[in-house]
Amino acid sequence: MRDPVELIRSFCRDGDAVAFREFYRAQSPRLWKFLVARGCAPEDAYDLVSEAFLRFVQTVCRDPQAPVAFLYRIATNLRIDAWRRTQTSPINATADRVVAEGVAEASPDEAAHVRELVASLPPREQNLLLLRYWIGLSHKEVAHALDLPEGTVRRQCAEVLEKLRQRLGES
Amino acid sequence: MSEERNVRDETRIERLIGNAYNRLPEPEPSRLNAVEECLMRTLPRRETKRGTVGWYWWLIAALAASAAATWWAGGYLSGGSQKEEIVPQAPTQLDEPRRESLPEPARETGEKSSNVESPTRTNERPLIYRRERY
Repeated sequence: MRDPVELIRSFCRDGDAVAFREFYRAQSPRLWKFLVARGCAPEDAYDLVSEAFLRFVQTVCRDPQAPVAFLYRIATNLRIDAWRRTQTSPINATADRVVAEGVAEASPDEAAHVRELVASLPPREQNLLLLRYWIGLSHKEVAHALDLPEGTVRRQCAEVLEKLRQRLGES
Repeated sequence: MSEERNVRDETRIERLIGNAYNRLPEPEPSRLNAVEECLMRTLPRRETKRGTVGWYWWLIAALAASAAATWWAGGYLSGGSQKEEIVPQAPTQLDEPRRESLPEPARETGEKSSNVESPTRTNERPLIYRRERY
């Protein structure tokens, strides 16, 4: 699998549709799962994936340095917009849905318990945690995705880690 | 020491979160494929649109160039039929030294012009007037 940055550079430079298709196939399943993990209904998540990639195509070539972070930034903003339209709390929805799916899917209780702990965090910290430790973005990319300074991301990551460590220790 | 603990915590949290969220249900491939096809259809359309815009710019540039050429040619042709009259101007001071350097015309003193052509002319002043001796 080629590097996402290389794929998007090829797409922007040469209009390489094959490179863009490869990027989409690598990123779209995980983006869908991220949106679901953030409290989006599965059906809505497909729409958001589609909308996010459409906006991504239109704007990524202006600065194709960190395409994955840029994609998650678009998706996160779209998720917030969708939530504002529906005016439902994403935190509660996340907790309910993730716990329900966790019971169905994961046999060990630890996975469900971790998801519960993450869902109990504020939305911004959930984004931070999932982008950094699940999606695997670097601190710099997370900063780009969440529109925060890199130093703030590092500090908040350390704080969230400490919080999770304490809660895991308590439980 | 605390750094080591942070690294250990990070690794542990990363493993826990990975295990927890990788167990989420996978998306339906058919739905993602449908989105992919829609996206792929938009890509060539975007390029075509960009090409059309480029074609319009070329048209505008060609029209502007032809208009400028017409204007220039019109000005040139009308300027050819309306020639300005040449008005003789009074000599300026800059012309004075040049006139002094020219040889003066011979005065009407009754002398032949052969004197002017004598070889001594270059070294001596020409004989213009001689007092008569009685």
